[in-house]
Amino acid sequence: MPYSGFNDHNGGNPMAQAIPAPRTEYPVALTSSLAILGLALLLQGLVDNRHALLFLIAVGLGVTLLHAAFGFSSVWRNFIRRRESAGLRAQLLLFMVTTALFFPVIDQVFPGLRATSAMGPVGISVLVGAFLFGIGMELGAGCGSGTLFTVGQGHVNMLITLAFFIVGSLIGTAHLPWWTSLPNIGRVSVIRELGGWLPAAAIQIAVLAGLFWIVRSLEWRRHGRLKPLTLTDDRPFSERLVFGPWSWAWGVAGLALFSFLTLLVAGYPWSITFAFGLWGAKIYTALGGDVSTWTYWSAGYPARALQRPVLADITSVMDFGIILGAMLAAALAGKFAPAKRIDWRLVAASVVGGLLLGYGARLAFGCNIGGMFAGIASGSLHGWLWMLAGFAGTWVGVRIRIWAGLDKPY
Amino acid sequence: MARLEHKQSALVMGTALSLAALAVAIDYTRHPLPAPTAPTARHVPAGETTVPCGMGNPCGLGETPCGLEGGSPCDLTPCGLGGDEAPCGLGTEPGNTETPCGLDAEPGSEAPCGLGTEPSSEAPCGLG
Repeated sequence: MPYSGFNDHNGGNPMAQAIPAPRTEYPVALTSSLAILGLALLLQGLVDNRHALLFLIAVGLGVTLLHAAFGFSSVWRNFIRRRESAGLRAQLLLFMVTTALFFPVIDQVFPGLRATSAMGPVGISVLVGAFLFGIGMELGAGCGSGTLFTVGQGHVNMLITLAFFIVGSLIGTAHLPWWTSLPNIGRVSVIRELGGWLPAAAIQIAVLAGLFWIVRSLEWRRHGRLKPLTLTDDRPFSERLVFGPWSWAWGVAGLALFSFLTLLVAGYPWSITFAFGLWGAKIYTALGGDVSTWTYWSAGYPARALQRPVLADITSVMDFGIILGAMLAAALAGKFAPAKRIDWRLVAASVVGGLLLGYGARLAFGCNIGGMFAGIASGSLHGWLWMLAGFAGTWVGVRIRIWAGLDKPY
Repeated sequence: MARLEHKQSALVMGTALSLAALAVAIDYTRHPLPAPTAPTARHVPAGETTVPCGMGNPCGLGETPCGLEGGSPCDLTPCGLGGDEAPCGLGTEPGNTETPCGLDAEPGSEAPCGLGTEPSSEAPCGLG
């Protein structure tokens, strides 16, 4: 099948392609800038500097995700349907770069630098959770990070996905103890199992490079050419940086930078969906429910998070940062609040997709970011299991989209 | 079927974000953070140059951010909330099995990080 056209958002035509100047929406840009500044100051005053700093790092993540349109659901869908691999190659490149950055820090190579992995048990819970998440992100049209940055961009249908993402997460917290009682081999650190950060990083990067070569070959075989990871644009660097769009390569650089900063400042990798369960639990409590007796919420960090304001929860604060950062970037790029046709199929898909996203993320110890990206980049084997199961779920989700009339058949 | 134009979408988003901000504000009033405790005297060994975290010097910008300075007392007294809990990934000494996050995790332990089994865990590591 020939390409339907180069390229929707970046990667662009390898031949020089004029990118129209963005129609910046200054009122929205100003409002989001003030909101970012205000919340950063509020966090500094009410909580501490670390929360404020992580919030600002998350703003950077949101800007990067929006300007580079660095999603997972559309990228995986495009690869499955059309063998377009640019986004997938960018993701694999991101995993390689962050492996090289994260592994030495996790293994405490540098004096004074210390951080921990995003570990999850390798077992049925992650397998089922990531599979459901894969289906959900095709129906809901967004992954963990994608849902946040498209909400920031002002996609109204993503509000529905996010709302049911939260509901699904809450339901997942109720069932998680049962799922974790199913067979698993516990947490497996590839850094420990492979004899330290250097051999582990070398092997993991080699495997990722092998996957990179495979997906690249599949695109080449189908189309006889490759979409580039760079963007040909005559505009000045600073203008492209502020107003976008960014190439995949810039997206990789931005996400690697800000996720590494998150690791250093937070002490653990970037995560997203714990906050959704927390917001759900707080809303449920406000409506008269009681989750304090649920195993998940009865002790440890979740119990403490429940007793504190969401502004004290780093995951929540970073999620706010991603939304506001994406909103700012969308306003600068003239992409805020696009017109949208909403029909019952889209609403139904968003509801079901959101529920599957939330439930799956809880079972899988995170979404595509906290479970897969953070897991792989910080040397947890469950991240690899997440990738396999999530991709299988995406394959099913792509077919459900066709069956439901959301996409045209091949 | 309905088609939301740009202004309608912006209005919906503005309303949703305003409601979210209101909910966060209400949440803060229901669960206010404890007031910071007054700095207490602490013996500083001769030669120690790192300014203690949480001892009159909140870790942060320009100071000693938690997670960036392993040798700082941030390891012992985490910045921010609680102060009496060793955050997961911040200050977990090798072999410390109280916080089974990361490489210091007990091999084979099936308990997910922060899932109610580690009363000392401060961070949602491994919870996504």
